[in-house]
Amino acid sequence: MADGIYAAMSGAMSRSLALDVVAQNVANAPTPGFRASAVAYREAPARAPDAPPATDAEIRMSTLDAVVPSWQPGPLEETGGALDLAIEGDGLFAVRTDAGVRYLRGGSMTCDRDGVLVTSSGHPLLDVEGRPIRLPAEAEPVVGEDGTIRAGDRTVGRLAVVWFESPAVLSHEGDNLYTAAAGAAPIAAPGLVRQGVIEQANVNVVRGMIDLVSLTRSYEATLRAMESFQNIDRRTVRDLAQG
Amino acid sequence: MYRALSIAASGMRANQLQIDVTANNLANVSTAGFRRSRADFADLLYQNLRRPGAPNADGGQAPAGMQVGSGVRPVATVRMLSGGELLQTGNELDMAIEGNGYFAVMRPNGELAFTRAGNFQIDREGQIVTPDGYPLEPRLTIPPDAMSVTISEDGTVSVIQAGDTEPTEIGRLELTIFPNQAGLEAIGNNLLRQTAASGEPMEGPPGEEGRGTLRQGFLETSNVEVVTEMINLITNQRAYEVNSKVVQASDDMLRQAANLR
Repeated sequence: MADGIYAAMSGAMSRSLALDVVAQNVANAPTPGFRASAVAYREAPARAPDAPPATDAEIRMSTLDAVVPSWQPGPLEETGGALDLAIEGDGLFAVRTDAGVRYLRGGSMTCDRDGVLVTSSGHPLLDVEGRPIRLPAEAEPVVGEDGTIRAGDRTVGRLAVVWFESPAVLSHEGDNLYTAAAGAAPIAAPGLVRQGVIEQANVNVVRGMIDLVSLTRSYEATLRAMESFQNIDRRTVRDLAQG
Repeated sequence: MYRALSIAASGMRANQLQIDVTANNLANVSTAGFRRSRADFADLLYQNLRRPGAPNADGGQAPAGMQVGSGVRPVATVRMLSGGELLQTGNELDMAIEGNGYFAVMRPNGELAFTRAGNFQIDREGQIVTPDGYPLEPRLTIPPDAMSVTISEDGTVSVIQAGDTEPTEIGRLELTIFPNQAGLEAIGNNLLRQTAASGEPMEGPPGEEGRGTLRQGFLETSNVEVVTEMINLITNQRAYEVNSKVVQASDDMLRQAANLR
């Protein structure tokens, strides 16, 4: 049997996984602060990690190596909402969840019934000391570039804005949140806080369409290759039988 | 590929919802005191095929993770609270709130509702009511022989009665603010209702503790901007189209796989 059919199959499988990633990017075009992911393929030997290398020509597989969120900024949209917060440049707001501290790029914030500043999913935003921030009802909050929130003539807190040495430690968690890999320490963020602004997703729809077309075509090509290998097998069996 | 199908479907649903919200905004472009809404979305949970830093096939550490998401979901429709324009009507009982706050009105079921629409009228008993007949709280009755009604910025209502030259003060209007006014629930008829998320109403005289002031003879228009809504409509329509292309592509790929010979 021709082993190449498995190499072709691995190509088809990684393309279909890549389609899921493109679908996720395009579906989240309306999600504020969403970071689109890119895929990277890798050539991998078709053997267990601890097996000795094969001596003769070895079949190499194509696998998906990584799905990496792109930290390119998205377009900023002026909304005028007092609690619409965005970060211009690199940076993330910190929020408290049941699972620990998570990060987000911004979006439409709101207050809960006690006046605590929360995300639209209800997670409280944290100040520089890791505490939630309570906004007074009687004055409109004004958020400065450094994250300082003033209401009337009073400073009510300063939003934590953090960043990481390498954004590769951040992964998607859903709910517009990102989680940092264990051991990654946040550093001061270079970005500036913008009030009344929402950062849109950094999804490039044109790029998504092109990815779609090229994935469909290369998937088709790998399937043709699989068919060719099957034809070879079929012919070999027939020739041998006639032999 | 099956995942791509359901992800694209969630994307199409999200765009559909945003178009529904846009349609409602556009339909209410001339509703007094109407506040436009915007749908807010969040990405759904991710499947971690490999976490960043996990050991890879060559014994090293993978510098980047591998995650596949499962689509998008709507989390909220956010009412945009920026004020509308003030339109001069000259009508004595038209009131606009400049700044924060809501008028409180009593619904027939005995619950309070809140509104920004200041197009009030007088019922047959002389009470100030909404166009639907819900009385303004605290209740105020205009005497039948009142020649003119004056409402000051701080809510003081005075009338000049027939035969008098000096105005008589008959009461004071109040405005209500909330810890979280975005948490109010719209119930139609320009009315909003208190919820667990909005917090307790705090009523008081206009102009105090962050409450806005009153402008007699003005109405607040809706804060809908037709151009913005039209642009939303176009972008959502296109985004819907791209999601449907994803459905087509996954369908195409599935069919090819099924036709393998």
